[in-house]
Amino acid sequence: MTDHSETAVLASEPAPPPAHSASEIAEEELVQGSSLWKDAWSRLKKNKLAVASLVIFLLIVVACVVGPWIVPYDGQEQDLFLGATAPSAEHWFGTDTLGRDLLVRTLEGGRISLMVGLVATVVSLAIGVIYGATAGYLGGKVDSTMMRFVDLLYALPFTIFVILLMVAFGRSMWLMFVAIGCVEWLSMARIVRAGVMGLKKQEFVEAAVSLGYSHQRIILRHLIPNVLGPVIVIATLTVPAVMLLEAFLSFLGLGVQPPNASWGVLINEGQQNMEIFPWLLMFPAFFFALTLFCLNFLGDGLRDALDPKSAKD
Amino acid sequence: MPLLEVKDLKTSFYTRDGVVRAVDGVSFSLDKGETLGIVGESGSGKSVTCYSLMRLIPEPPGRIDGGTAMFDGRDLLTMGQRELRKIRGKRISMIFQDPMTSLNPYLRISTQLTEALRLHYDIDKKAAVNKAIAALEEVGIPEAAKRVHNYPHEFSGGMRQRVMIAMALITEPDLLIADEPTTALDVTVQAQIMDIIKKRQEDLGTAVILITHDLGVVAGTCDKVNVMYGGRMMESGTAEQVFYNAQHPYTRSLQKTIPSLQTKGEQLYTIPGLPPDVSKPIHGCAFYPRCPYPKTGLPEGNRPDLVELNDGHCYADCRFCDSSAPIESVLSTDVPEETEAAGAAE
Amino acid sequence: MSDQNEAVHHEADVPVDPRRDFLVLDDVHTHFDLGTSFLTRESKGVVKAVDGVTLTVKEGEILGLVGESGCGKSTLSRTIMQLIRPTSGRIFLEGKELSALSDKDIRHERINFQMIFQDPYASLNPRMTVLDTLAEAIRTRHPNVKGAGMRERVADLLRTVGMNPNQMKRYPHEFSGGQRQRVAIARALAPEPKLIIADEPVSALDVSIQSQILNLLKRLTREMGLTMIFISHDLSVVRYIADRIAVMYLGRILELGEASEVVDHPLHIYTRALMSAIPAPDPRTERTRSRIVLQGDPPSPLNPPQGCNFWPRSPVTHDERMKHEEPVLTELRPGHFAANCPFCLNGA
Repeated sequence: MTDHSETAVLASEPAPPPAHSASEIAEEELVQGSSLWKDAWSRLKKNKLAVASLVIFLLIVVACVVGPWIVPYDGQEQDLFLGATAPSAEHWFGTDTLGRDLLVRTLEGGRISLMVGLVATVVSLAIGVIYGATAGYLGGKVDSTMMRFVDLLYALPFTIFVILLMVAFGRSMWLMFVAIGCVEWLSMARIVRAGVMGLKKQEFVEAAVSLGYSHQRIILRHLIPNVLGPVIVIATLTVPAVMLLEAFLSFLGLGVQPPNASWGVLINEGQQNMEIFPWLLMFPAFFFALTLFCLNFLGDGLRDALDPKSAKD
Repeated sequence: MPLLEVKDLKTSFYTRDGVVRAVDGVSFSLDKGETLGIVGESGSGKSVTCYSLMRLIPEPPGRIDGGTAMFDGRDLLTMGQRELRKIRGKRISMIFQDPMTSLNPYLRISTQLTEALRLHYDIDKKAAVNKAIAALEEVGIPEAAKRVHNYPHEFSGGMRQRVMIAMALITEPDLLIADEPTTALDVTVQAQIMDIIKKRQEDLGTAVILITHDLGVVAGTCDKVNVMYGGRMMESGTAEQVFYNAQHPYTRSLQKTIPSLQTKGEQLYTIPGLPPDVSKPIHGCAFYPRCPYPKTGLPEGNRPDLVELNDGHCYADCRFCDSSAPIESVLSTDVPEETEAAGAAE
Repeated sequence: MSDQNEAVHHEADVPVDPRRDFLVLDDVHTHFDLGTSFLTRESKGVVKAVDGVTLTVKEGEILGLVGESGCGKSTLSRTIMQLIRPTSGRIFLEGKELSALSDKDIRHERINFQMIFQDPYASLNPRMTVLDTLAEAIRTRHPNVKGAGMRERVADLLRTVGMNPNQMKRYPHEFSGGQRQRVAIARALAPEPKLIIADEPVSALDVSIQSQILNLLKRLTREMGLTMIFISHDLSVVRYIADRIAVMYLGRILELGEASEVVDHPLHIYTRALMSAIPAPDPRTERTRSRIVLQGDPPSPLNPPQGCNFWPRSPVTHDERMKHEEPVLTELRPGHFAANCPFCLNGA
């Protein structure tokens, strides 16, 4: 098109300086803004319970990742002569009926449990956010078709779905991640879609459309960042839900297979000998419960921090 | 004795980010049957003033820090909740800005209208409904006997605001507080609603406090005017005094910047800058940073005292600028550059 | 940029030459079908938000569009913006028929017409800095500008709308309503459009800020040679800013003419009622003048009245003929049009 309007905009600047010359506006002169994320973080920092939860959770994660290399035992090495022993200076958490060190097994189980929680949540996030945002943004027939598909998956009984998958593809830990992720993304998609439907009516989205931005750009740059607040909260609360689900599947014998262990498997084993060897149940259950508590408190803290209404009061 | 006498009312909000002095020393008095207009922009404290009188400030974070509000010889700000409930809705009622949200969508109009009647008077249901029908007829709702049993969503915006007025006046209160009653309505409907409020006020001898940002609405309806800015009173007096002999630089500037059908001219005058951030302490005059008059000193100390010019016409006597010249000579039509940003979030 | 779309428009016998005039609306209708009831299969009705608007806008002028809520002014603005496609009728901008372009082609045209929205609290993306917002908009016309050059352009834009460029790294929530509206104006100017549609740009602002924004818009239109459609419910605001005024009622234009003509010599009874409803900030005038009081609320554009659609509210007469004769926008004085309903027009 014509370029005469460009000169009109620059009319106040008779000779625009070449781009490479020292810019008139130096970085240090700019007033640095504080994004909503930054504000939310500063609010979260004031919430002692949430910060403590975050710290404890990170400690657990670090312990599970690094721990098994430091502890001088192998979680799969059996010592049938030793058998189950109570906690001692040598074996801090004691040993199980096969003489395996429970500390290592708890830490290794934590690795798997946390991995299930994180991988499945990331899978559900990735699918749910994009799927929900697309459905909500496009609306109309596309939306109803996409959401009926979600309803259909919702209607499938979860355990049967997992059993079918296991039967079809054989048992594998990764398959379980995928199976859980595939179920969890449904509610994520619904939440994101609802958020996007609300945002779509806001004028900044109309402005983006009238500037001729592509659908992809509008969804990724303008819609998703604005629904991320509730999504992060849900994600934090999804991790413990997924971990519980894993424990449940492992309990049914559909999840992690021996000699690998997750917290769910350990708790299952522990409760079988609960009356004779209580530490076998106590330690894994304690860590599992602690993690769930931390994530739930963190989720609550994030909800308060990210909610724009609580910013004002 | 005036019906309502407010003296030095102070209301603050204690938030995480500091103390917001929403109302900082407001005084006025109102006689029976009189209309007082409280004019101001958002954040001027005009609504908080009236919510404080009704004790509808959410506590915490809000708190009434001081002052008295003598209503018929009793202080509204210190009386007990039980006594207050007897006054609220019966002797003082309120109309809100948004007629779409101030009626309960799940209850019939008849239920909502008769609720206050049955609460405050010993009256049977049938008589109450008859009174409700009469009240609806008074505010110009056609086929009131039939429509009284409808739900709010069956009424249009203007009709709902009429219902709100009928509801507020059904107990024949001594004082009606109307918070921007016409802002959410179309101009042609605004005129109808203001006419109805005026007519009912004459019938019942009710005193009215009208909260608005619209100088035009005030000019048409009010006997007295309070101009508020930054939680403080800038000027008060009769409508004539304030409109024809404005003393405070803010009142004068405001009058000049409003486009009206009557003023013909190519350029509008503008007030530079932004309304004050009441979460920060204001030294001296709240309008100082935007005042177009030549400055004679730095703002300091407490807020300027209200000075009586003549016969009830008061204004905040700002000592920091020379406001002797006519306002046209100092206001500009330029688009001012904004140098100060609004307070950062932190 | 989008030269491939050059020959899209049709040749047709429009009363005005679409190639000569800047913006042409030719019998534009925008209807919303509410669909059919699930059980009874009966139609739930059609909302005729815009119901036959023919209008031309000259290059460089400010056209004020006035009307009450539900009159279709916002739908009309979004129809011109092609955010909503018209049900029928044609819209030409500089001879190019926008209403005939495909969704894909229209995207390349959008840099030529931009919109300023009503609510500055909702019209800026809260997660993006001013710099990001404006840079994104500048790139629609200048895709290759980067780094310091981009920052310079953003700074220029901010100066143009009267803001300090050192604020560019801040986020919308750190600004007041008036400042946000300035940023929104800068964003609309960023693609260097020729036409700007301002939809109630000052009605969400404080009175002391309104005049700043009005003066800014007026100055920018003049200095940059823009054409603007300024939409408002407030006739006094429109009278100040507009060269011509169009009064809209229930999806149609009732009166159209030079701003001073329409305000000083209104022809249609509705325009006169609209004017007399505006309260003047002057107690003596207010107490003495008589009002033309309209009856009831504006009717719903769902099932609008037939004939002269103003008859249910008309304060003068309820003549049966009004319900049957469809009035036409007619030039009654030079350049001054009004819907020629004999009962609604000024006797003079």
